[in-house]
Amino acid sequence: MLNLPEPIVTFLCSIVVRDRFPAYLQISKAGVLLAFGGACDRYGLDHLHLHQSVDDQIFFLTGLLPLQEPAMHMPFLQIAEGVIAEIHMFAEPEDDWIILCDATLENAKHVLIQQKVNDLSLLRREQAKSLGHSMHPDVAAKTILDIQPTGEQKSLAILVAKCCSTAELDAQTTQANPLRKLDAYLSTVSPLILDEGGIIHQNIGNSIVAVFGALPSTRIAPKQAIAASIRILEACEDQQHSQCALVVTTGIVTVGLLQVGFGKTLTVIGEPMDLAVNLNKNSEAETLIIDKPTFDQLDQMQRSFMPTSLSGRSASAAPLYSYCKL
Amino acid sequence: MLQKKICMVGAFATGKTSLVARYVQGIYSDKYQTTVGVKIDKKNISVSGQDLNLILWDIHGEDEFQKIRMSYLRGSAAYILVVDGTRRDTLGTVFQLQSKVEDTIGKVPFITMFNKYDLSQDWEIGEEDLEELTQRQWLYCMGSARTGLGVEECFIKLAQMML
Repeated sequence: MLNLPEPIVTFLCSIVVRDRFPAYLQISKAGVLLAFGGACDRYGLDHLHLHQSVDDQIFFLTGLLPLQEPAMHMPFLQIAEGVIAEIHMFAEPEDDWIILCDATLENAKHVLIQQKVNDLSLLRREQAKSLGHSMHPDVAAKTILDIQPTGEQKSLAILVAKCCSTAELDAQTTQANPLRKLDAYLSTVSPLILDEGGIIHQNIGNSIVAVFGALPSTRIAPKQAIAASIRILEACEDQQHSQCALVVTTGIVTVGLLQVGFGKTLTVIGEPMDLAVNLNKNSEAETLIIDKPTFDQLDQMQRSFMPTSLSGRSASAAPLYSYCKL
Repeated sequence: MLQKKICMVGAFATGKTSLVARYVQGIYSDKYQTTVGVKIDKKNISVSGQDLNLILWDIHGEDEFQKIRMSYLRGSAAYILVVDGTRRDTLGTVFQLQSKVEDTIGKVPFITMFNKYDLSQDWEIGEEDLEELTQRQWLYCMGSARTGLGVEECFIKLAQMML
């Protein structure tokens, strides 16, 4: 316990009572309301009846009681119009206790930020869709991409993301089908690249090649590529069954639009592209390897990278760095 | 009266809140307002002669900043996985979520709802996606919170599965 003087504790309690409108419920293991108090009416819990089942009185508790764990916390629960409650529940040997505090203001702050994040994410997706499907590539290159359609030299960051968990095709097990796994991987990775302002350049086998710096941005291309890479690593970690190997390189490339088949596609040529593709061949699952030009532009993020080497690469080659989660 | 908790689960901006608003209040708004936390609503219905009080937990969408707290799902009798049919990646999200939900609350009835079916020109769900759901033996339906298409039918079907 913190060693706080009593006046401090009293003051803190008075703030909670003044600003958070606490209320409590005491409920038996059989689901009978034993006691209640505080600002229950604020949460729509008026007309409560003691010694009766809570099932018909407090509908948000349906299915939750008796508590299966020692304690449960639900930070934002809207149980009455316009009021968001933070709910703490904890179990005692004979009863369960429920504490409600007003979290409406806190929730409003979170909503503001989350709304912006989601709106931006949807907007970027729409932009990417327009680039890929709706707009003529020449128009897209002039109006949205920060490049000359006829070609120019430009500093870009290249990200190659390889899916390492595809096995051979097994006709017996549909869910183990590598194409389906790859499809799921691409579905996960693509939005993250777009979210960070990248463009999906092409798919090669089980790898995605993305470029950063072709779309206008306030961030420099290597930082965008690293942000996308870290998000991809985290997403693959969440999915448990997916593993990926990532490489980011940075440097001057020739970029423009080339007629391929019936349409024009973004084309990127240069040493950073070749290096990224070559490094990716030998990189291992759950790694993020970057080259020195990328590393040099990362400022404080450099702390997350350590010098490394790759098998089959000569010792005299330019240094590489590997991501280490801090 | 029998009370059953139903959770709405899915990626952000798939229309979970709109589906509940359409079903419970019969209203729809084009303005997207994100949910942080949970909104709880209820609706009394009668299915196969049985009165039911559905407690609907509209849980915030899953994204990298807001992971769904599985504790929200405790005590659920059923759940609806909501996919935005105009964003195919949201189907991948429900594949991930479903296994987490099942790990938390076990096998209970669920339906996958492909929302925004009115936006047919932007539709990204293909036959092969539906085929995958069939192979997984998942029940699914098409719907639109905007037009109301398929919304009531989805909840009624789920209620029938719970009884």
